[in-house]
Amino acid sequence: METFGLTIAAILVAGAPLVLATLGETLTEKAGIINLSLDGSILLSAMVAFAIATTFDNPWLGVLGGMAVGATIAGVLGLIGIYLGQSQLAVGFVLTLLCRDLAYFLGHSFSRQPGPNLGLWHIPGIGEITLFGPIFASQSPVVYMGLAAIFACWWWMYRTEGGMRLRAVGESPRAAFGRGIRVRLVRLCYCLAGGALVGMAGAAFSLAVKPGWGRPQGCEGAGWIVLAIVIFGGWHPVRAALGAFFFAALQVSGIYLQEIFPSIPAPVFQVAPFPMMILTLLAVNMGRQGWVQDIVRRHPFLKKFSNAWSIDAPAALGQDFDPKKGL
Amino acid sequence: MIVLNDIHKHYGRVRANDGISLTLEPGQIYALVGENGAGKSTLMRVLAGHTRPTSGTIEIGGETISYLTPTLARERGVGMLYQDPLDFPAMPVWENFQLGAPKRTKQEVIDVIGELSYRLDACFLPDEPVSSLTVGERQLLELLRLLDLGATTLILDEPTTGITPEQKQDLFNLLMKLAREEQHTIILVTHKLSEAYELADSILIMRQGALVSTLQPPYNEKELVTLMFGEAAEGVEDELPQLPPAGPTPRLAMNDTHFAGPKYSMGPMNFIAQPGECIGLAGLDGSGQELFLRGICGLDRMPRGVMSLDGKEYRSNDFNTLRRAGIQFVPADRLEMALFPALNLMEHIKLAFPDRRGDLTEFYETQCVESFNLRAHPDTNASELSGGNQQRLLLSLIPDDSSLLLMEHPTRGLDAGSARQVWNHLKGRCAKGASLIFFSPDLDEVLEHSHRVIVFYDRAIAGIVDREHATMDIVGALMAGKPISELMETTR
Repeated sequence: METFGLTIAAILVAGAPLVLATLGETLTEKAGIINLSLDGSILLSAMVAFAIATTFDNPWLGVLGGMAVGATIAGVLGLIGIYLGQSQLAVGFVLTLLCRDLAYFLGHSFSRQPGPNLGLWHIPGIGEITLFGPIFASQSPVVYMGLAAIFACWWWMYRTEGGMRLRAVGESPRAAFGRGIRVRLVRLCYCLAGGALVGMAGAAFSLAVKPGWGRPQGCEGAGWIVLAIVIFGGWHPVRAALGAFFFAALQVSGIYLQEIFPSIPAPVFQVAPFPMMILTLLAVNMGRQGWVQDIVRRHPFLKKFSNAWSIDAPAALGQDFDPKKGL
Repeated sequence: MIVLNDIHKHYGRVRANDGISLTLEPGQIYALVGENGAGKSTLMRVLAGHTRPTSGTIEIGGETISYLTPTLARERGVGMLYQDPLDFPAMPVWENFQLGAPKRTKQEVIDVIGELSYRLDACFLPDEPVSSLTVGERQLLELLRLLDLGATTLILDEPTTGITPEQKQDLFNLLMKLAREEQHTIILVTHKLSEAYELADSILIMRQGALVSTLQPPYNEKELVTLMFGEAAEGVEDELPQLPPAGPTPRLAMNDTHFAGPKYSMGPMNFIAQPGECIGLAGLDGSGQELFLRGICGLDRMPRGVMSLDGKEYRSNDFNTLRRAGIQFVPADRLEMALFPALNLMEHIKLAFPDRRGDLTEFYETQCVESFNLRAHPDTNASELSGGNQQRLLLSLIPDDSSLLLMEHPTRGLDAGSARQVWNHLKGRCAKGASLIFFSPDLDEVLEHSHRVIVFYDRAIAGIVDREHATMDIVGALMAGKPISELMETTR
């Protein structure tokens, strides 16, 4: 039971930055903007967060710095993509490459240096509780940040007026404009908010999950998998977060499986999570297949499940909108 | 009172509105009529604050301004209802209702919806997504929303497309009540003169971006038609060709056929179409007519059943096999689904007739220019064509030996002259033995051009009506869900 609890704790830690970045991208895409700069953003904000934390010897200042970097990069994308009407995909892609090189270049002097990290939070008195104890008694703050962010995003998106407007501009910017909503401003705001969460993910990597800075840092590629997890999560914060934890679980279990099967080469376990994600995506979206729909129609009780599976992208994802052109 | 003063709206070289001045009084119902592309919708968008005019002023509530924004228009009580409802299909009813309104709780919103729909004899489930409603219900919801926001000037853009005659009557009664009892200004944008006669205190006629005349009752139909269409009104529409006696092999026979689309499935269906027959499909949006056409041509699946074409049986409906067998499908969304916007006319011809080699200029002349009156240079891109020319191009790409044409709304977005030309062409094909199955949200069009009408209701065939029984009353009642057995008894 103890080992099981520790495994869960490890998954929560490994998954926390992925969850934060996934939620950030979910917010952005729900407003209709695709931010492809994730991978570079995470790396650059990880570097900046570590640099600030080392310089000022305060990891929390580092987290704020990382968030500012993430929001700035998203802001550049937002200004060019939303207000200047350029391709979000092209700009995001270029930003990814730019930020990655910038991170290695600017972060060179912090490479392999000792520095502060976020440490662990100890919650007294719960250590003896079965299962719950080993997971939460002494846990990294990023886990709590991730869990709180899941709830906050869900609550904001589905329980507030602001969240309603967020979904409206991603669903139909024309209709939103017709209702007096300032579409481009709303989109820019969520671009910034999403970017800040992505920056927080970067800080979570360099200050908690894989502490320190270097080349490679260890979080390379996380941004790309996050983009996949957002789709996997059907643009729903809770589902997306579950997807992120699932991916983390695949990675963590690889480490354990490696010990059990020493004869299998280690790279197999490192690579396995990626095809596993594709298979899971296929399984999750099976409800869209024609033959599955036929079975569901013949057995109506299955409908509940197939409805839960059904996911659609925000209808106006990636489309730009210019109010001056009118409706 | 609202005064529009010398409104111009130019899109590049196109003058959608060319100096329009207009006064709208409270308590009056106006009908704004004109052909497609006459500039009606543009003018109304200017009034609703959805488009900024190039020049001109708007006087509203005693204040003169150069343009409105959606927020400003709402504050001044102007609300517009679009032909394709401008709403959020994936979001629930109550959120659609609330978006853009002052802040209130979900429960308050639900109460307001309940109260308003009770007054108007409607029913909405607040948590259902709007995509599950029919177009008519979505428009009604929008109307309730505008009334809730305190709109006193209501603009309705073609509100009767896609609703049953009964729903139309309810809507008209409501509009009449709003104008007479609550002094609302109603503007009905329409291309159907009968609706304008029925409701309007005055008819505003637009043509080519200008307001050509304002008429008061009693209306003179001939004068109206000439004002609306100009010379194009003069033209002969061919009669529906006589149906030849049924031969031994039908053109299309469906035997317990099931079709399954992405949203719903239908079946079993049994149906026979003869060569030379024009068959119209009627039904509210989403009642099954779309799936029926897409199933026959192989765009949606046929999980069970048999379909035979000219006596040859098909157990699966592969699109390319059926296409080679002579089935041609013409979608309503021409530019999106049937043409290549960035390819020119000559490239379309080359793609459609891959067997022809060498210089196709002459072939283009005979195929497009002479027989279809498609007056455009072969270098023109499809995206630059008008709706009428797009449809002409599409029809000219259909091989002459096609035996079964499936058409979604053949005259969508066409002016009267083009629409007549399209129908004359289609009837010509039917006279030569091709069969046509089509649907149109305009019930008049369906009744006018069909030997038989298939009415769909609730994703099934509700009834197949012969030409002599196909009246507005019977087809309308079937569309609304009355069983056919009941209707046929009362007519006898």
